[in-house]
Amino acid sequence: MRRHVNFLAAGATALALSAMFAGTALSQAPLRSAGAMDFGPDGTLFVGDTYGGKVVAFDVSGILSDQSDYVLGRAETFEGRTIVEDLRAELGALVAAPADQIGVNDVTVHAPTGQIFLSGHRGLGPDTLPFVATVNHGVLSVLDLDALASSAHELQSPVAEASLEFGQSTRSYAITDVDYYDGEIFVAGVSGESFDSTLRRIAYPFDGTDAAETQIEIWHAVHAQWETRAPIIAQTIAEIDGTPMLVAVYACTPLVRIPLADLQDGALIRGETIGELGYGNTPIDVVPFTNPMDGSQNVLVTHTHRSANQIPLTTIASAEPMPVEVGNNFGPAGLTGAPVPAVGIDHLAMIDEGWAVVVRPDPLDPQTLQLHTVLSPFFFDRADHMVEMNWPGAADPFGYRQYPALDL
Amino acid sequence: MKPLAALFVPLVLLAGGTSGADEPRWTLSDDRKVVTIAADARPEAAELRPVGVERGMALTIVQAAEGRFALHANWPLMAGTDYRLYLESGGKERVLSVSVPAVAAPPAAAARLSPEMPVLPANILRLHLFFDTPMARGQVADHVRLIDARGREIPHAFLNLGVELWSADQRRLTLMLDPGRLKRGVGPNLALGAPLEPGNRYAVEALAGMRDARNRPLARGLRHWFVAGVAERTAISPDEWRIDAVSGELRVRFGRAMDEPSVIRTLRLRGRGTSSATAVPRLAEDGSALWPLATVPEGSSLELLVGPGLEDAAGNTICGAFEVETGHAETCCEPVVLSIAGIP
Repeated sequence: MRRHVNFLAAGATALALSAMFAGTALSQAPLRSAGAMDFGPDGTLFVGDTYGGKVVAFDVSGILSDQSDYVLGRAETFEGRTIVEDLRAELGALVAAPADQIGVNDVTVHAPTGQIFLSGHRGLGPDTLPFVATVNHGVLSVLDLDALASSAHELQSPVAEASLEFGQSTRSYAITDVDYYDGEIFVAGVSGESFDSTLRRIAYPFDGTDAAETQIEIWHAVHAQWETRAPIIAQTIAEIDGTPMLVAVYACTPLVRIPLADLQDGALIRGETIGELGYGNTPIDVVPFTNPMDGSQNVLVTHTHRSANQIPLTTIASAEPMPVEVGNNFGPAGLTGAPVPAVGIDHLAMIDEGWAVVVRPDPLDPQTLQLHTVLSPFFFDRADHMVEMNWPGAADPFGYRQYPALDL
Repeated sequence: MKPLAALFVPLVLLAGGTSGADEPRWTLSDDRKVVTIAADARPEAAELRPVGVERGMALTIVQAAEGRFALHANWPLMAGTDYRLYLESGGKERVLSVSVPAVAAPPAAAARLSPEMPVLPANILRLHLFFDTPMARGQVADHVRLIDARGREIPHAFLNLGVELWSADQRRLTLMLDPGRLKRGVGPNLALGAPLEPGNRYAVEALAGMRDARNRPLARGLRHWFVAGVAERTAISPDEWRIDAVSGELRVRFGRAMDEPSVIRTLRLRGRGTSSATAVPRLAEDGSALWPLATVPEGSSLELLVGPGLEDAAGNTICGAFEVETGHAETCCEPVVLSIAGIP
């Protein structure tokens, strides 16, 4: 997911790409699984590898090409474009698998070119094979990861467990999100066999030493210790009034604000809960975007069981923390922004200021996943809905019929 | 390459078989990444497509021997999958059916729930479902549920992380109950209540429609009943454990339901004065940890190492209770060592 490129510096590094990947080349298969992704500088794609217990940086600069001439839809009529009709079948064809053996785990976009990348897996069991795919002018292809320059950072087992020399591997990690900001990556997830919440801050380029890793537990001002078990599900980093801030969303569904400066090695952080987006729900993505209508900077939070939230950064900066001892705060409460009709979306990433790409069930065949575009800041496609104005001869209050049928 | 399915009638072959005099023989390598065919002319192009898909994976063609060509795939063919192999040579195109046999093995069954004790604390945090063979991921939300005594599903009982908590071999699934519903006084707890009420009967179900790693439904689902007991809100106190030797085994009774992987991971037995601790316990149905004593000399003194990561099923540790006030949580890094003298 691209998260902060619209309004944050890209965190350029002085190192040339060749130096960035030199000396840390992987000696074995780069990935055991491919999950959460984000782009860093100069065509560096970070991929979270839950099963391998690491984050891998791939140099994909050699396969990037400008996509600005690829038509993403028509804003005037609120119509997006279906880039891939049957995403699982198309991916499966590239990795020798039937559609029902394909999982799509994340989508992200290389902002300078608008090129879309997908992570996923082939197969269902422990012998699952990961893949990373890209879309070039509507054509899917699977990356040859072995051929790309890459480097990795291994996520360590908890120090206390390892020090007992119990012999049995305690490594277990479920990466829920990966974000790059200003020379570092932030990896959220649960770790260890007890699946405790962990947020890790890792310098990039990777220096090859475990000591570079910072391990942090997140505390929750309202919910106290239990947030050590409930990990961040989705996060982004935004500069708010010049201060870099981690904006994180937990399951069931607190919105939390944490200054990056507080994320120090070994610290127990109390994140400020500034919104409760509603119980019985899990967030999917937190995506920053600039509203093309008014130029405001926002984040979009998408969910499994609720409509999405559009939340201006200015309100994140000014929101008061929710009170600690409240009688009833199951929400939505506090800062929730404005509801957005973006539901049923598996994954979302911004392509540019005007368009986002989504992985979603086909509205006409929910068993089929499609890769589709939706218009910002509305995040819906008019063609999905059966309304009076679509009937022949019906009123045309918005003047849509002045345009010919969209044929992409 | 153009779609050719309508132009040719595929011949279904088994691996290593032959399609007849007019069709090339083929074999599949052990790693399922190389299809070798017998043909007079070198194919100019080869593409492999799963049945029913109009697009496929291009294969690299290498002459393996006189009249034999190796078609290299970047991805191994999948067991139990039917493909069409499209070959283009000398302006002619032909299509072969390639069926990779499924691995013969019975479908998985849900074996047990841990903890297995008939009474579990009403604030239980973690449950574990064990299966006898690897399972598929991506289906837990639809096939695993908590029900009450009337068979009604308890909504939102398990924490939905967006990722499923499988062990590396995908035979053990960890289910976390929503901590927000367990901890008293926070939003989800106030809105929905605790998922379990003391004194009531519940079951964890793994529905038979759940699929194993080979995409087959379970041979046997699971419905494991238990009664919710008094919530456990105190730290683990190893001093209160009952340790004895029974039938050639050392037994530790914890007096509460423990988190099984945590026990396996953090408890170790060693001879007093030795530095290495290698004996791994197993858990009995009653929740006790057991170590065999067959190789331990009579009268020996042992030490039981209790790692700081030990947790009970409600998330309490030896450092403190799961529920503490903000800012009062304690951490500990050193193991507790219990001395056990006079092994019979």
